Amino acid sequence: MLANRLSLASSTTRCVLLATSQEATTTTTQTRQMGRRQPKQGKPPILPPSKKVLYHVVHAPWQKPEDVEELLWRRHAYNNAVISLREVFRAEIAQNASHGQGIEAMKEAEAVELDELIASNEKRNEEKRAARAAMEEEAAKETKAVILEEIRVELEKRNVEKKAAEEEVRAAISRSDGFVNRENLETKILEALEKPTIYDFAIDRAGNKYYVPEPVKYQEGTPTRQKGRLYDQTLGTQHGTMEEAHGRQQQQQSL
Amino acid sequence: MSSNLIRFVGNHDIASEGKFLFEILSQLRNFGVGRLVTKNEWTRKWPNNPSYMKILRAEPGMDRWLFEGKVYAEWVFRGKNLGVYEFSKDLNRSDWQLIHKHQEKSYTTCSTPMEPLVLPDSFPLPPLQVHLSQKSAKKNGLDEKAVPRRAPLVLSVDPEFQHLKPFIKQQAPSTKSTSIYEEVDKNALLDLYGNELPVKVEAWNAGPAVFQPRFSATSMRVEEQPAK
Repeated sequence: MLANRLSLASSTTRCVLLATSQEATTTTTQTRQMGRRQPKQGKPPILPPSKKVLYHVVHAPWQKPEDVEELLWRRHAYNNAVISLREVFRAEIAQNASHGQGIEAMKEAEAVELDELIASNEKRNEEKRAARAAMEEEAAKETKAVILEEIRVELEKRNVEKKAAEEEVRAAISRSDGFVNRENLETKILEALEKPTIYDFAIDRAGNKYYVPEPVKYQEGTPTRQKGRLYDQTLGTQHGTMEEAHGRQQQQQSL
Repeated sequence: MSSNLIRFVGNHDIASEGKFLFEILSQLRNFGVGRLVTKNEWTRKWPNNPSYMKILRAEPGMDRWLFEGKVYAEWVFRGKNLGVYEFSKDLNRSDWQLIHKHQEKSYTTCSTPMEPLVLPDSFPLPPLQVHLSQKSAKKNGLDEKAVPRRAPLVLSVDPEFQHLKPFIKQQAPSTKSTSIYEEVDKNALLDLYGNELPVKVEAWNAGPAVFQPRFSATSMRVEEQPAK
């Protein structure tokens, strides 16, 4: 029983394998054919025509006998008349030639007319050439004037710019009296240390500035219990407004 | 469909009631030289004018159906002897009939042979053509009155009626008119077709198709064509 089941299982597996292999082959062929041109629809040219075409017999409808009769005799009369008219036209052409209006005369007249046309065309071309030369000269003059004007404007502009730059440089030189340089560096540093400019103030919406007292060079007395910002007025130690600071400054100066 | 089965395709030749020519001739001694054969078409079309031909020489093409070949014969058409003709086309119509020897004498006697076909010798020019001729005459200082209103009629005979050319005669028309259709005799023209008119008139009914170059495109475009 077990062996039987095993053999069944193995055969199933083989079948599955076979199926997958077949599928793989078909997929590959399909892929190859998809890349190629599609065959044309219809009959290959080597084959004979289809039976419908091969054995198709045209049954043209008959015309009425009276119509046939009328068409037949009128066709004869018409053909005779047309052939005769051709002779009439031939005679007409020959007559025109005898009057000096034949093909040769027409050719000569056409040749003369062609020469006249060519001469008039030459004349017109000459006129146009002269007009074009004058026009081009005028245009060249205008262009030259325009270019010179542009150059003048540009030079003026550059002069103005140059003057402005010189002025700026002079102003800068004049402003550079109080600048720090190598010579007065020590003096300036000492000055700055003695009289620092304080930008450490607070400002409210009304524009009031709240100054803090000047920083001290040397620590005196008990240090504040401040840890973060050194002069925090919110701690309540030293309040003051801008006016108070100003007043304090004035007091110091007066002292 | 097996290969040895013959299938006939097409329209049956309804207007034929006889045998193929070589079907008759190949049964006769010496291919029927000296015998009379006729076409039933001629009898149907002109029953009063006997048409027949006397075989002078036969050259069968020896094809499978005895369709091809050449026959030289003395042709009597509607009671008129046309002379010796070569027949090599339309032999594949089963419309031929042998005239038996005992009927030959009665068949060949003809009391009312074909009348000559009479056509006018001139025709009225179209009004526009007359008008233009008068105009050009006036321009050239010629006499306007002298411009012809009629021109000689040149005949255009179809290839299928070429053998009747000696019997076509031209006369001055009895009644003159402004249209050629009123001057030609309708019945005389229709007599060419006898009692059996074709069932339809098409471009290809007017004789066999031929190509006839009228002009050489380069050299003769402006020159006058040479008179034929």
